[in-house]
Amino acid sequence: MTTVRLEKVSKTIGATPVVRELDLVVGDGEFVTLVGPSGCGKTTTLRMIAGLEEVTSGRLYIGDRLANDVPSKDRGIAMVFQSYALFPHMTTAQNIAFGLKIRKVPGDVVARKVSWVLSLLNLKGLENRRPRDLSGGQRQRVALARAMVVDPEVLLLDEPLSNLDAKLRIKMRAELKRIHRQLKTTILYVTHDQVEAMSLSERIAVMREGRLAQVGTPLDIYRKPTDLFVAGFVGSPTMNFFDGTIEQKEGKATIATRAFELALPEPVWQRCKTHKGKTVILGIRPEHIYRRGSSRIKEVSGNTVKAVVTVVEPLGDRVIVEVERSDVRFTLVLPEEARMVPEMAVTAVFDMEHCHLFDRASGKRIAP
Amino acid sequence: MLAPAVIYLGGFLVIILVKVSVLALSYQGASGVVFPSAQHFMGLSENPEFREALTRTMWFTLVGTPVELVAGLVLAFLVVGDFKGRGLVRSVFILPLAIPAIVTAIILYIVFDFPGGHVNDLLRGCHAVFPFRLISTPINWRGSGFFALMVAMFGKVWRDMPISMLIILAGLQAIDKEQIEAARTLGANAGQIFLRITLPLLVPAMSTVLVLRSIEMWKEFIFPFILAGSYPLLATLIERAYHEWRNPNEACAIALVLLVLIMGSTGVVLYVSRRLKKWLVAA
Repeated sequence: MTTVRLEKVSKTIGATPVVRELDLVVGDGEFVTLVGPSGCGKTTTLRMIAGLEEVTSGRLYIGDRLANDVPSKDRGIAMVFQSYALFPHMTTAQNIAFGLKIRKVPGDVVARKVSWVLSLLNLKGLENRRPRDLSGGQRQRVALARAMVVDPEVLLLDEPLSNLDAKLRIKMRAELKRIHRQLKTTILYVTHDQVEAMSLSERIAVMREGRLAQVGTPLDIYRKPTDLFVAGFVGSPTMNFFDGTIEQKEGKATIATRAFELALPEPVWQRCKTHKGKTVILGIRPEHIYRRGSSRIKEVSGNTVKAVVTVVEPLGDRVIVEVERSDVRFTLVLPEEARMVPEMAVTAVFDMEHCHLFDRASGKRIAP
Repeated sequence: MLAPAVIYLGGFLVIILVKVSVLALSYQGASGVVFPSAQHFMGLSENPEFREALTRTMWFTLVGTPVELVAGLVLAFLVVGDFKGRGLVRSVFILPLAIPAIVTAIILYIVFDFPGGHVNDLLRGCHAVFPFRLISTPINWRGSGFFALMVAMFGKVWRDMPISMLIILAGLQAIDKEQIEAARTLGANAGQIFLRITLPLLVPAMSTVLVLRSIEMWKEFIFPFILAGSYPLLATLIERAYHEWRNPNEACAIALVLLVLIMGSTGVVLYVSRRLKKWLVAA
């Protein structure tokens, strides 16, 4: 258990900057996820912390120690690789014991710790199997066991669940949470899957093109994305975006898109007054658009839009519905009972309390 | 569909093997041809030339095969990394294969000539590049069994090490880089990574090298034929039995002995490499 602190950490490969002046603090025992699209530098950041990549500039602290030039083996870290990187010539038990044997831990202690981690990760009975005789989920757990058994101060996980099928992934997600609660190890987790990031972590660091776009709790990031990129990246289905002009008519603030006009609630208007007359981007999550009659919010004039259904994607309990009005398309999530079919007319009710406004040029959040 | 395979097996393997076996097991006695007869094998077992050739061949294989493996390992580790001109260096290392063995053998014949060969001149300090007089009288390389076979082995190893290198190189490149990185993060230093990860994972490649190269060593002909003519190995003895002794039956008998030795040694190599891998993992 320790902290990890990155101060203006950069990584350049050849002439290409991969990570640019990253500032991030991972607290003692905290579970932090680095998330972002592929190529955003998240894995490189993790590998720098692991000591597998050199830090080009900036300072990396593990605990209170400047770790830039500390060899990987002396950093007190352990890493789980995306490919698991199990040693194919060793059995499960030998794989797990590897780190302990290297550290010359006495045999009886090795046996005890291996046995402890085997039961922690439900691997009992698989001790003598080779990696090739294990299923994907089992391999994943062996890789985790191999990293955990050395009591790392920081556990680094590089997309550990991305090679598992959807069902197993959800199971392992819960498993990881359980283990973290039990061991309280500092965990830095890398994934491109925002759902995984949201469900696992105490804090999320969203990365884009080598920079941090936003750091915060999952709820912070979901509720108050700092810019268009984060807003579009986090949440599923993706947030709806509309170009709209902020106007004030007869004392009422509205935002007018090409196809419809919506009223802006007072608190939102207070924050975006400065953009009056300008075109901004309105963002609203599909789960914040309802159907007339089933809406949890009051229908007032200025928050309803008549539209026609174009695509219906049933998910079982819910349906994702894409609707269209005058060539402007947006999605909403409805309960399954809605029985939507294409060509159907529908009146959408926008929960404008939950809308987001972004500056069109900079992409930065304006309100609320 | 099977016809080509059957023709190949029949034409190149079965017929030849049967013919060789029949010849080896037929004995021209006073009352006509006796078959089957172990007479040729019994004769060989009492023939000092055969016994000496057998001993020499065993030493030749036992020493030459590991030397080729080590040479292949060293070369492969030299060229596996990323460096400028890697392609060129690799090509140069493969050059020995492009030179016909007979040419290499004859060059070595000239280089190790007696009394005036280049090596003798060099050792006697006749050249400015090596101004040390290590010997006063030239060595008759081909007049000594030890030297003659060493030179032959040198030629054989030099010519064939690119094959070993390529096999080991393929084995090295097949090792997942992340496994090495995983070992590093788990606390292993370079030596431990080599012993516990790289080497065990190279065992299949190394055993391939040992099997292929030991077979080649057992049946090596050109280098000992040119460079150690007075000290025959089994393969060169076959030629002598056929041409000098005018005894094709005995030549075939030697060939069969060689075949059995090759099969036996291959089995041993495979067994040992399996044990070796287990031992490397457990240690």
